[in-house]
Amino acid sequence: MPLTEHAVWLRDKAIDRLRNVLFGVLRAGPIPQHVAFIMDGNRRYARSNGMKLIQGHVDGFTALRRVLEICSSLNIKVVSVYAFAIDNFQRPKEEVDGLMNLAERALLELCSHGGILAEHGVRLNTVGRTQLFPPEVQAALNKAKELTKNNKRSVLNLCMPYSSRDEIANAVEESVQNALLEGRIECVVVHKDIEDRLMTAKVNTPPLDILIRTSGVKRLSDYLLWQCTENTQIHFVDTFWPDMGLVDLLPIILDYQRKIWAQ
Amino acid sequence: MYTTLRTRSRPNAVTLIRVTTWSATSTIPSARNVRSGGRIARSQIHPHRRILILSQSLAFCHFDMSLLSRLALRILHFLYSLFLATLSLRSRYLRPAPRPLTATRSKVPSHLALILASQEPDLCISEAQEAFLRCTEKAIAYCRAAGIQCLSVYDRLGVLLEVPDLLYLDGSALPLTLLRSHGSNVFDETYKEGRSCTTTICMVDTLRKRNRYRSRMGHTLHKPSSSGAFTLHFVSRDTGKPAIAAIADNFRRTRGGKIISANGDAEAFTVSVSELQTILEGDRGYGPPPDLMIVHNVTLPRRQFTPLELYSFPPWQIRLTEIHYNGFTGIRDRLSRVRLRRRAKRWMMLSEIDFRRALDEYSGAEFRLGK
Repeated sequence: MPLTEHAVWLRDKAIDRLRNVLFGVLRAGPIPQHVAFIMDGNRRYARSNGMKLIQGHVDGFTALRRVLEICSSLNIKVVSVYAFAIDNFQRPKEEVDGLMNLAERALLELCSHGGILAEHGVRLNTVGRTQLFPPEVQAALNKAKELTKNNKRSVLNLCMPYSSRDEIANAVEESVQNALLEGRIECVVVHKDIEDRLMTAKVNTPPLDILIRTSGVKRLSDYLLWQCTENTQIHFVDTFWPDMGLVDLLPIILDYQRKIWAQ
Repeated sequence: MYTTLRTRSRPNAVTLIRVTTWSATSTIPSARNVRSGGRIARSQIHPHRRILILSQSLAFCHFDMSLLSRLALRILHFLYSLFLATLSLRSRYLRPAPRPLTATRSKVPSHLALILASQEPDLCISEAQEAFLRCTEKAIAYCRAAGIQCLSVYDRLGVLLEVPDLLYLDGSALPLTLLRSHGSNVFDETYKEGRSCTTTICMVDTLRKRNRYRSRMGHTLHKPSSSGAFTLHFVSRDTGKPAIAAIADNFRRTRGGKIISANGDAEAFTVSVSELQTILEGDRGYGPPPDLMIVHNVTLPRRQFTPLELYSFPPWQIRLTEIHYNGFTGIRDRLSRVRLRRRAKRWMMLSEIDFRRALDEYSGAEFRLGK
């Protein structure tokens, strides 16, 4: 092996070893149970790097794999990602079709034998109105859920296509229907009834500890509105999603640990 | 110390084995016969004793590594504190100054929400009310100077829900006429049990004459007020999730009752996002949604950086709200906290610099609405 290749190999090994040591050190403190990501900035990343827009989304998928590996190494139990908003159907047809094809390929890759979900024991849930997707994407989602249903180490909630207001309206509807089915006059609907019927609650998701939005935008954009207003740390990070990595996550985890220690 | 061990193959037989007590400084003992002082061959050690020695060795290693990891984590947090101190200094002294309040901006929010946050679990309501009111007065003055026509002030405890008789603006006491007070503003007329969720005050045009704002530098700025009244909302936690639940319960009694009495199926009840939006954000609700939100720590935080939280602010209305927050606590403020430990609490007033910076960020924000 030439000297430069040897040096690169040694460097990569050393970096891997240091990362594992860092994960071990972080795990000695409190670790959040549930972290959510708004994966924003794929298109601006592509434009700033002179790529096609779809390449930005492809690199975004690579970043998702990288972040999932980090969260799994830290023993974070649930990761929720805002993969596709109901409003995103308003984008140009060419981009939406490209995203649907990417979603189909990405799901099969994630869940295949040796894929990252299998490697880290991650179970896949979908949160959202999946009936709005084309049949091929729905089939890929169902297959992915089936392949990972026995994984127990952690959970990935793919919020797609999702809107928090739609989730709340749906929960209100089901709460009222349930109260009517109970048939008792004194069966009052309280806010816990709505909370138990949110789409995230139906897949047994614990309370949200941390919400992270990338690309410097400082809005929630209809994501987990009900869940994130209660005892959730919210971080707006300037990095574009395809560039997201351990360097951005490290201060966020340290902030969470300081909060828990201060309680 | 000796203990007994029974095995599955010989449940009635008792084997005496020696148990060693570990401490952090103890070393892994070798297989040594303490009485004789000589070494015992490994083959002569009972298998159960071998397992015990191995498990105790692993437990010791685990304990040792766990202690090391916790120590390394503390060192990491110390380094992070130094990093935060650098960031704090940079944000305080090296960022360019924000534009003046009255500067022309590409967009100005028509509705601004201010969260007055407190990290203190044992906040005294009566002391807090004075400080929260002073923050509100400052916010009103900044809003009017910047041309913002609607301000919502929120605090989780509902400290401000008791509307004061007087607000002070520009050094003068201003009697307020309560033009509109919503006792049960999100509920249908048929809902009898009104609850005070949001209190709304419309400031009459007599403010026009008083619309002089004295800037921090002491200059008096004259700016005609924008046409129409300035609206002030005092918002509480009940305006959020409990209000949505109350609407759901109202649906159950009114629309659900009609479905059941007509022998309809419970699943015939449906509600859409637009219907909920009309109720929650309409004239009888809390709306229009804020364009910009400033989260301000009124009490001195304990940590040098406190990440953003929303303190149970009504969730429905903040779908597209731009959020501004400065989580850093300056070194001087933290030192003053140490000095004031036994004395009256130190309150952090809303600063003009932070307000102007929030307006600058808002004017530069891009809204794509999913596209």
